Amino acid sequence: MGGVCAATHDTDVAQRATWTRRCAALALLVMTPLAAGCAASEGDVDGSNRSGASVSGATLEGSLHVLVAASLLPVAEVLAGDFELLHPGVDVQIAGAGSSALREQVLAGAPADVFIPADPSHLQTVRHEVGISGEPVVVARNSLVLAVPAGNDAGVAALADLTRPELLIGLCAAEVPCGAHARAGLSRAGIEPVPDTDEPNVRALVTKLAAGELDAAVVYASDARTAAGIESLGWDAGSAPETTYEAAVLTRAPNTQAAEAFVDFLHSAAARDTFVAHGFGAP
Amino acid sequence: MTSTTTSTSAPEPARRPARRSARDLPPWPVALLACIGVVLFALPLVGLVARAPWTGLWTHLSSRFVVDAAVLSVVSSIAAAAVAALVGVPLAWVLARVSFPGRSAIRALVTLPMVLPPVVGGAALLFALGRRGVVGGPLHDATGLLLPYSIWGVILANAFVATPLVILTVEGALRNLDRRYEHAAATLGASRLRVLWRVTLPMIGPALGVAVVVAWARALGEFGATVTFAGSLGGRTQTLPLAVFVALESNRDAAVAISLVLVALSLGLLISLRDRWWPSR
Repeated sequence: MGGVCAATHDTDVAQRATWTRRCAALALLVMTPLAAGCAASEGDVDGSNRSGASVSGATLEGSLHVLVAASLLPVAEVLAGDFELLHPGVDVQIAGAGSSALREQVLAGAPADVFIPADPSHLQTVRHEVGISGEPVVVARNSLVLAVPAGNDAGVAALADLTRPELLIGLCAAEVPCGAHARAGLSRAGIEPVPDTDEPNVRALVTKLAAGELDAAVVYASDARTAAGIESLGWDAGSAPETTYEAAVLTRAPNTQAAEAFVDFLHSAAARDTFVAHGFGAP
Repeated sequence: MTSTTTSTSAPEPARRPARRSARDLPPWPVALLACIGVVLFALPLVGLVARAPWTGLWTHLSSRFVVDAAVLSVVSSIAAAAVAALVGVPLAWVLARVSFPGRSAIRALVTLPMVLPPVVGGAALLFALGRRGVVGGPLHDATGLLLPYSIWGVILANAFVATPLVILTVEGALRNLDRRYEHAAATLGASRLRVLWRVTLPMIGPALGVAVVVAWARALGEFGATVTFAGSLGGRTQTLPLAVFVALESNRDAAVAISLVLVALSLGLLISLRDRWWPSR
């Protein structure tokens, strides 16, 4: 404190100069987006005039809120971008989390248009308590695989290795679909895993696995395909647990038109190719 | 400032019964905004209490996973508060008393976890101290010690977010301290360590108490850094907040029951703080 005060006297002028510069910089920072905003809104006006003149009321616009299971997040971002190219007036907002957490958000009144959980059972709860319009549409499938960090330093070979206590093993919590399906599949195969962590959603699990902080984990085939730094070892004990992604438009969707168009788009051939490229199964 | 250096429990400063006079009444905008503030903080509690499963409360609270989580939470938060005090007080002393280049940068660095999203803090800890971490890697190779997925990881994550509270509180107290007492003790021949132990620490005692209790409460409620760094496994690393998060998705009554306990515990801690520690200057 004392040192600072003593120094103030000498450097008063210099400090004032610094402050002037800082203020100028700050003013620039504040004004740039403002100017950009002005330009953008002028563009919007032009755009809406054009579309209003040419199209007969079928133009979709506004924002569209889509809640997706954590495992869908990477592919959903890509699909949202594709959809926005087709419908430039629509701004698609993707939110991803554990399916059951999303279900709770929907039940609690989150402003959403489309809900795509990793397990159709969550959709049933939502249908009963909140209501969905029309029938849910299957947009993709996924299966679970044993995955290891790139390099597989621990030498994991099979699902049975999930029982080795000296390895660091991760699963999803039993409360989220990836955890429930993994446990069901392992128990069918008579394997009792000894996890070191039950992550609250599959993204968190993939992050730890890719960082090499786990030796093996059960994740979705889509994660094993797209996440950098992890390898899939498949499922070596009977048939792999599968899950189905069903998309539904909520009854109270603020933007029903865009929501229905988005679900249709997810069912299109183009979207199917994108899903498959990300390691998902076709519906 | 009350001037007691001999007894550790400072005598109660004379508390005059507050007399209401027109001058003390707030202007109406102040009163209105203050009321809105109270409602803002009270409303979530009302929501929690309204949702509470009062009849089955004990059944929920005595279930295995809740008891495991509670024991882990209490042990790890107390340990984290101890670590926070052990590291935070010396840091606060240095920041308050020693003038060195880069002091502001150091202060910013050590208080960063207060404003950082805890998940970011947890991820940073993982990349530094995990098995493949910059420091954690060599440490694990040399000793076999692994911080994530263990109670040590939970304590570290808790201490990471709680220590800045100790640093800020204690540094403030040290700056407000009347240093003449320390000078007097030094003049009488006390060594620097003795001055610290017998004069400085007793004088900042109340502030230190506040700091530790606030750090403890913060550690008790820590979620993001813990789940990201230490993971979540029942009986090993799943603390009460993590148990709430998982239960919220499958067993909402249990989640609300645990939340009530956390609220009651934290509220109790903060109320006890107000009565015992806050100096009523």
